[in-house]
Amino acid sequence: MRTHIKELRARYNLTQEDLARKVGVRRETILFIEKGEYNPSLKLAHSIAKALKTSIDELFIFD
Amino acid sequence: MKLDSEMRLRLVVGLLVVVVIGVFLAGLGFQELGTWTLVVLLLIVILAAVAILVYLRNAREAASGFPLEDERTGALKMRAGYLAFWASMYFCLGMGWIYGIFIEGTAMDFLTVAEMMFVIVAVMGVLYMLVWAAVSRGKGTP
Repeated sequence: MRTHIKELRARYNLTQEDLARKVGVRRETILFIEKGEYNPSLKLAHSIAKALKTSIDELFIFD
Repeated sequence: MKLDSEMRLRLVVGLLVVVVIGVFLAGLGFQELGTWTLVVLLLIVILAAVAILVYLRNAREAASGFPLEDERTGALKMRAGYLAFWASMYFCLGMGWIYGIFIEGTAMDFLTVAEMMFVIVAVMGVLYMLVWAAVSRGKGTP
């Protein structure tokens, strides 16, 4: 699974740490989600999408 | 650092200290401080060193305002526990086979039940630590 998290973070000038703080997870969790090495729960995916002002559909690319 | 996280960390470190002292005293209680006892003590020291490093890292993370645990760390623990459980089972089975095929009935010295218990528990701990280290780097993460 690929994501658009990195691009959206850049758009809103957010670091991985900022995003992690916003959604209440550890920094590594955001890192691994961005790298596609961890599939977040629906709840976390929703929180990230909300923090980046987008939808889950637009945030994650299911290959 | 949140109070509950701090209390949990203190509890873990406290329990670890109790276990290390207990194992050390048990090791001294063996008739002689043989190779296997030393192996167990070495494994315990490795576990304690890693636990302290993890504690320091967690304390730093907590001080920065990040949670000590989130859904990924929970999933990692489950995964590491599952894999370490199976690896430990094969280790125990392997020890049984080695004993049954090569040692039983010979004059060769082997572990007593108490020593065997300490070795197995220590190996299980080290296996869990190794598997956890591997999965937390993305190897087989769920």
